[in-house]
Amino acid sequence: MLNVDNLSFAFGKRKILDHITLTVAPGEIVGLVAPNGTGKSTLLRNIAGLLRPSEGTVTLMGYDAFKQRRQFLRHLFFLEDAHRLYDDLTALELLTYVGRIWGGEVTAATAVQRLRMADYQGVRISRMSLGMRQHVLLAAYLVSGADLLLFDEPLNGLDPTAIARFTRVFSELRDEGKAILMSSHQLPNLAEMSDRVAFLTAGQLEIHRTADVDLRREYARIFNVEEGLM
Amino acid sequence: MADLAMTLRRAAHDRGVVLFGLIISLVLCLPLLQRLSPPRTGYQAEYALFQTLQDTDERLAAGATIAPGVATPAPEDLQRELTLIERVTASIDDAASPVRITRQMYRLRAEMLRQADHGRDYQDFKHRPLATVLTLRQDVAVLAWLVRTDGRFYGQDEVRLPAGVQLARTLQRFVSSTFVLLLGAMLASYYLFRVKWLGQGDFFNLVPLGKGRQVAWQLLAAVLVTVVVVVGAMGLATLAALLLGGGDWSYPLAYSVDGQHVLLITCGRFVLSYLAFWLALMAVILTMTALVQQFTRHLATGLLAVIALCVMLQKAPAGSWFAFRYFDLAEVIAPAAGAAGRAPGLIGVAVMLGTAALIGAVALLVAQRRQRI
Repeated sequence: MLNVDNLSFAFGKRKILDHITLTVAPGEIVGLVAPNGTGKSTLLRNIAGLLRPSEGTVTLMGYDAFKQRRQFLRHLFFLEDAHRLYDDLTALELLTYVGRIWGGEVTAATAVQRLRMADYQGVRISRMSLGMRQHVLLAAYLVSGADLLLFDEPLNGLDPTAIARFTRVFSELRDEGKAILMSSHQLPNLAEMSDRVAFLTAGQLEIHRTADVDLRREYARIFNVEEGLM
Repeated sequence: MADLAMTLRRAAHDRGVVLFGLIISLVLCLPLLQRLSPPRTGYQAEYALFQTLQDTDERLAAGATIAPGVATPAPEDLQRELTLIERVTASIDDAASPVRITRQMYRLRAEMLRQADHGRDYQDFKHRPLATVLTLRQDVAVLAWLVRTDGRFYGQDEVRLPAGVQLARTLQRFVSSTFVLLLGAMLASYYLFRVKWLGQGDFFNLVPLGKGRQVAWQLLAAVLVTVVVVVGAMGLATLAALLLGGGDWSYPLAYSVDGQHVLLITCGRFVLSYLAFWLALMAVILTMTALVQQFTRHLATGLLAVIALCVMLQKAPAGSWFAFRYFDLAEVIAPAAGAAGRAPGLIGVAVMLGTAALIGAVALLVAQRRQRI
């Protein structure tokens, strides 16, 4: 589904991503892990085409991220930051808006019900907590019906109940054949949700099957975390 | 249409847009509040002359000799002037018709102009110039015109004007072209850049729709919001004016800068023309902003770029087809000294709207080609 081939990116002379290759198959969840400021969001933005790679290509369902932009975007939904939502709209209004643009099969009401958002669906987003906004983001994806979800830090601001709810929804999406690439610092939750985990270190990816490694130990090894801090 | 409806709904929730409307209304209404201040008449100049005449009489009665000079009028001139002043003030006391008062004002000003032409120097008690040959010629030209058309004269310092006259004068004098440009640029930039500034532009960049179409919806929504804000603000200012003075839209405004040519325009026509020009100007600024925002996502940079373009292009040496020549609205509608380089009447509005359509089309093409907003 998603093919990232030999992708490189630099901010000026500072190289952030160095010849990265990654694939995400339908029905697969891939976690992206790295310390703060090492390029997780930059990689996601490159994949979405918000930043232009200096080298390499990104294709989704065979569509090039830049050459076949509209077809590419039809299959992608990128949830980057809960604070970049339209504050002036209510959750329901935003979901309706997204539904009209993407034309997905899931209605706003269904998404609200699936994520237990009925209590605050009529609340303006500017008055929502971070956890509520995360729910709105995920609901927006459900409404879009896109094949690939890029989600930057989906578990931020969520209480344990909400994390469990998100885990369940991600699992259902996997069963529906959707592909998910998400970044997170929550290693235990990532271990539970994802099929593979990609560690971003020195601009390159080190990818493991989740079932094969202990994520905490692997994180400590790759990023040289002192013993006892994990 | 769904995009437009949603964009308009967001705008309706936006307190910033409402705030801009209130600012525009306040600026238009503020000078109207002068009407609530203690009354001053437009005949202060006559009162000062009356004082001068009294002083001269007292000094003559005391046996003083008056040295010949331009600053000191002959007693018979002063007496002639006093007679005319007394007729004016008596007419006011008797609540004579405005037309009659205007005729008497014309005779008084004509007499003052005659004396000024012979070297009379009108000064107040602190020796500040009270009236000059130029200002008197302006008054005489305007008054002569008003006498011919049964119009009524209001002094330049008069603040207790009828409502329509007051609003028209407010637009002409107090709302400077720079202010209109600044406010217009801020309103346009605020609405169009805000989405990008808050990072929501990324959402637009990722929607699977043609970006030219997205910019078109955004622009259309911005135009509609602007029309509502500006018309609402002007309506509020008009309402305030009417409440403070009653309906009097047929009063003409007369201007003369060179003392020879007089422009006459009714208040209603002036205000409506001003509104039409403002909306056309906003259309140009909005489309310019839509184009500029293709190249920067930073609000301050975009705002400065739009203002700089407006100010620089306004002074560009170009013909009447050049929309930026019409950016000084009051000057375009009621030109101080002819309308050189500009088409007369509302043709300027058509020129500005045509230019807006052209710039808007370029903005859409750029967005469509780059597939970014």
